Amino acid sequence: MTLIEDRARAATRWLALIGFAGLLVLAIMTTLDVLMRWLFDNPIHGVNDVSAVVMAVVIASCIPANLEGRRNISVDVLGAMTGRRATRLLDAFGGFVTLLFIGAVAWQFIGYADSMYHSGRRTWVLALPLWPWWAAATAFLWFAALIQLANVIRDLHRTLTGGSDGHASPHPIRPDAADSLGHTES
Amino acid sequence: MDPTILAFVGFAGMFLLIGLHVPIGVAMAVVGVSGFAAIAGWAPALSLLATEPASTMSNLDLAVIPLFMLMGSLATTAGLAGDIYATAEALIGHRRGGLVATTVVASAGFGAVCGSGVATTATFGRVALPEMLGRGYSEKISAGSVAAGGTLGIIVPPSSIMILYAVLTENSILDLFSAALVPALLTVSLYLAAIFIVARLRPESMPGSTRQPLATRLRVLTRAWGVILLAVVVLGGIYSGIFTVNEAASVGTVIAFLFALGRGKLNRESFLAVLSEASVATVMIYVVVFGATIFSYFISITGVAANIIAGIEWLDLPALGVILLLVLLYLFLGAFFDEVAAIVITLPFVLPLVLSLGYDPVWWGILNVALVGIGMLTPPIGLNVMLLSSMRPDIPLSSIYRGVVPFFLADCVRILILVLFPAVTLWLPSIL
Amino acid sequence: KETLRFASFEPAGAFLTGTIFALWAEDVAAASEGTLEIKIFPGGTLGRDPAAQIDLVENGVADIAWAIPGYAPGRFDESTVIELPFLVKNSEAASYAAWKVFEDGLLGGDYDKFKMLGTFSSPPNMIAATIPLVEPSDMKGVNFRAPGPTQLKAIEATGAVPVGGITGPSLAEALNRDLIKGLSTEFLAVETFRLEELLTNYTVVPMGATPMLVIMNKQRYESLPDAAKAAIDKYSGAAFSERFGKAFDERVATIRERVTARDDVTIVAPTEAQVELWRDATSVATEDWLAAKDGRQSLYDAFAAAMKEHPASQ
Ligand code: NA
Ligand code: NA
Repeated sequence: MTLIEDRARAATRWLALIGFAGLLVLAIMTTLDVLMRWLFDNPIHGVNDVSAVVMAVVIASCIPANLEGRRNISVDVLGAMTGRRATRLLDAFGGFVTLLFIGAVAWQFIGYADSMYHSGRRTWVLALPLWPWWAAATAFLWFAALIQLANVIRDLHRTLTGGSDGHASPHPIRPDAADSLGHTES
Repeated sequence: MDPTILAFVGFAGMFLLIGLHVPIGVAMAVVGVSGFAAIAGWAPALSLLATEPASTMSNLDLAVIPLFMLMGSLATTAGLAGDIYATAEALIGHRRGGLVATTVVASAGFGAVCGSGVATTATFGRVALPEMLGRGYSEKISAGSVAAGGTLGIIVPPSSIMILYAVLTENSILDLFSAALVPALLTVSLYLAAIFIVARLRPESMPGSTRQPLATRLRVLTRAWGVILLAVVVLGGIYSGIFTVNEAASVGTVIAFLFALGRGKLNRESFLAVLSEASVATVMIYVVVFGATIFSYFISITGVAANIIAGIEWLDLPALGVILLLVLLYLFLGAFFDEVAAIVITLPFVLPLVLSLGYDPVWWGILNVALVGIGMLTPPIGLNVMLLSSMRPDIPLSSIYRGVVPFFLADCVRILILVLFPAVTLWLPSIL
Repeated sequence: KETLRFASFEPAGAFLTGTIFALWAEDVAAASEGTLEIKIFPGGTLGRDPAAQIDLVENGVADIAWAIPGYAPGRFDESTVIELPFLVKNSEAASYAAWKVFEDGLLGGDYDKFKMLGTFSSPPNMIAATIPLVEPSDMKGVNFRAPGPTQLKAIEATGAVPVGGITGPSLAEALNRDLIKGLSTEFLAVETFRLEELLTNYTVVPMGATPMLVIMNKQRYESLPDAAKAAIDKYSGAAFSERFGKAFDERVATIRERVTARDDVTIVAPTEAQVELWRDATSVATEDWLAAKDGRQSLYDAFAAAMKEHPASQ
């Protein structure tokens, strides 16, 4: 069971990496389009046709990793004022509400992707069907919901057993989240 | 329940959830859906949980945010921040307080290629802070200048918060960016003035350093070409009309990528780190946007904004008085909230009010970003200050907060100027 | 008293929402014997995404919405008859005809899922550009935007590079940045999206028009008291089309007059021979459209016949 969970948690990071590598590819395509327009007055056909849905899939692919790392903007004043045990309890509550949210989103996305399929929505220029992209986004959101479920179970276990984890922070924002934004001047 | 009361209950509920450690975007979404359901029923309300994230994720204007995040991370990895610091130091570092001024100028320069305040702070916390401390500058002013300089990441365009504001209020990102330029210069000038004054009052906190020989200074100057090229291509391309904002972000990302690659800074490990930090920062913003849009639909269906406007009209305050009250409100909110959250939580109430007073939405956007930028410095939760303190546990939190004070005062002067003279903001977009 | 939510992604001050729809809502409410209130949510305050307006009504977020099917290709596909080049001559007759073919059951599909309050056509689009595009041969290699797939097809047939996915608010930037050199559009859009300063050359050929709908959630309509239903029915359908088309045509004529008076603008009415060139160059779009599904020829014929019988076509 823990093995599966560890694998899944590692997979979130790979998924996000693939997604953002896709973004880099999109940036390179746009740059080529600009160069072609500029130098040869001959743009690439239909570049921004798929950008919108590709973006949706890119963003969706990063959500599981975001939840896995518990990196959403939150204000932890109350926990900082009370004790370590209270902080844990509050974190568990925040995680649980997040689970409700992401679960509801994933659930609603099934209907959304389904309606994309049945109404035959297509892109403007190349007339590509939209539903496969939204189906992929839906799958990623379900993955995110499962990851968050694992988080909540972990939180509950921690709160009940009082096991140590070294996560509780002395500051009311989470330094790991903030620090990851800056980084790596070596 | 009366819709107006429902709106206020929802607002209170949101703060309660946020207090209970629920992430801000999630709290807004949960309250937004529940409140919408109370008026329109659960099925329509729940459908917002698919349609809103879907249109947010496929919104090509917002797509600029991850691109600028990626560009900033790649620029840092390529060592461009170090270059610009060395260059600014060669120019002004030898004067009294020169290294502090260097930090501010370099932060502004780096802000021209990076859209995030936190990233700018973290970068110069590594690049600039050790330099200043090493030359005997006081902890207070050193850390204070890095934290305040970090706000230039969102004050100088490109800026992820301006993009967010433009998208949420349906203004052109381009207008916001051009409106931001003069206020950004104003900010840097006021910060430099603040440094000058502190150098006069407390000379012992800022030793001068010896002037480097001309040859060295010229050599260092040439190192800045990377960051200058990137800023010229991105901002020059946008303002001169060659690129759309989307294209500029894409081209800038590719150039920063090539720099990192060409300078041999991009091995497998650092590349993965860059992608993952940019993706984390991006999703944080998107989750807040999901919540904010859903919450704004709830507020709009209650019609409470119209009631607030009617109430304020009934009070018959002068427009300037209302704006000053809003300024105080944001300084208060900024004390507790993250900058993105402070804007998106209040937008559904505040924007209709500002517009009803006849003010320009672009002007308000720039003022709003300036206000939440100050919030990154003020206790109890000054994001930039806490970030620095977590990076440097040896410097007491209270020292950093005290070091920020001169810059905070400069910010107050700036806010007054922006409020009293809207032309400072609106002149440039009007001629572009 | 029932309150209906009418969603529009246009700002409150815009012509269609601020004038046509607002007055329609007032009339309906006044005729409802106190059973109805219609509240307009302009500027996307119930749903920001122009492509998602149909979903809003389907999901019950809004009760009524103004929707442009071209933003969501694949839905309300039969409305694209309005987009065909050289068919629509003015908004009034075309909006009348659009209602007529709907009423005669020629549309099917998504139309039956909603309570249709109005099916409209914009006035015909023309070629509007930053460079002279007088003949189809001028279009070769030019980046050109159209408001939907059918017109993009016609544009592509002239040898231009079709650009899709740009919505109204982004048009000015796209023209300014040379992302597109021109677009097929009408004068109200030119005014609404502040393109007057940017567009310098207009070629007045009827490149097809933009279909528009005002749709209502069917269950919601059924749930209303009879007096409310009667009030809605009284002002919907043919009456709504008439009012919409007439106001739209008048407004466009006013703006055209103003734009014509500008020194830096050239408005070209092409010669007979040039019109034929355009007709030939874009005819493939009509042929493809007719071939795409069964029954389209009869829809096309019925639509053309209905337009012809309307006095505004005389
Ligand atoms: Na910036
Ligand atoms: Na603060």
